[in-house]
Amino acid sequence: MSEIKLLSSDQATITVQKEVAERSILIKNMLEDVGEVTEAIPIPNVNESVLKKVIEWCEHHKGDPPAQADDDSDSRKKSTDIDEWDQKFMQVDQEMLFEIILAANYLDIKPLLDVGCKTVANMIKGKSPDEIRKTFNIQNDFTPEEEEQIRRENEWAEE
Amino acid sequence: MTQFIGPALPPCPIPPYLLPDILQNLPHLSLIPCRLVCRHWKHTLDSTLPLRHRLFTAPPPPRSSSTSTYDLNPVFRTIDYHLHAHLAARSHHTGPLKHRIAFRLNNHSFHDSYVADTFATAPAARRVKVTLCGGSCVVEREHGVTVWDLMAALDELVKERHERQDGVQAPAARQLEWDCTQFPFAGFRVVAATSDEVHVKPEFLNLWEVTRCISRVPMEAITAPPVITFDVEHDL
Repeated sequence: MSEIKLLSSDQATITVQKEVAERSILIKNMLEDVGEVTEAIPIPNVNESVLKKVIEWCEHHKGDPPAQADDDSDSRKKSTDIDEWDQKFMQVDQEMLFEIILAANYLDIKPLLDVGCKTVANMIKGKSPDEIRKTFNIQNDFTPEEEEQIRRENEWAEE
Repeated sequence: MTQFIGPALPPCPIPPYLLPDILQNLPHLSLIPCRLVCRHWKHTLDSTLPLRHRLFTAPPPPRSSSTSTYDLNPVFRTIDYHLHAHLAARSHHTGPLKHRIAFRLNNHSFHDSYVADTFATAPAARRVKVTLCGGSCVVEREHGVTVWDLMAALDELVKERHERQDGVQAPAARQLEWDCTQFPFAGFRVVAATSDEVHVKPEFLNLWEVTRCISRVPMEAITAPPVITFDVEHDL
């Protein structure tokens, strides 16, 4: 089993099986373009702790069947269900959660990005606007009049 | 002296370009409060087509498309249809229909509500046929049939059935014995759908009684009463 090296943004070298690293479409395409590499591949946007976490996910999911090219609309449309292992994996602080999501987006690991998005969706699900703002530090930038207007539109949906 | 300097409030960690992907995972009822979070979220929800689809605000697809599966707006399942109140109101008021129908959502008046103007189905249908006890009513809207349109159609249909039964316009004194707590409106069910028309039937928790009240169709002509259960919190 061939191995490759990845270089994180904070200059840490991580050795990983090629098969595992290729869960990342970015790395996969890169390897296809350059062929055999002995140098560490720089991953400038991801630091060591996040990269390790992402690799942990890729290790666990290395045997997954490759994602269908365009199955995004229906299969994930309604589900906020997350596989048990992934749920545990995502039990990290909010900063790390978003670091993972950004890394998954950058490295082009669609299934991991989906798990991340679903995890965030679950943090939103069933919450009031105010609770959502508190959870994510969002500034309420509506004028009181606007807020009142939308609130009136929405009021049936609240208990 | 040690001084703690509170960290500056970190900005919202959700990357704006990923917000649609995140919200896409939420069921309809959880999306509604998201419109109230901030301008950016509201704009995202009101302008991203897949999200508008989930909020039942996406416009009807082009006529050439051959859609035949429609999701019904889950809001129908939360409407308390106060038929009795409506019939009482009808005999005294002559204003626009919109102000004569008394149906409410979770005890809030339904008038002018955002949901009243969302579409009855996703994708939005231009033509919906409602049938009840052998009667039918067709609603056609070039820009899509709304929740309001469909409830108004049901109302017309119920009125029509009722009047037919009495032969004349029902006087106030002969209102239906209708108690919405006894016969709760439980939403619509899609019976058939083509790219041109969606055919729906209203459902009531006690269809047999409803039928007896508003129709002269013999009981045996109605197939087994459906037992309808639903859960609003269920992923709609």
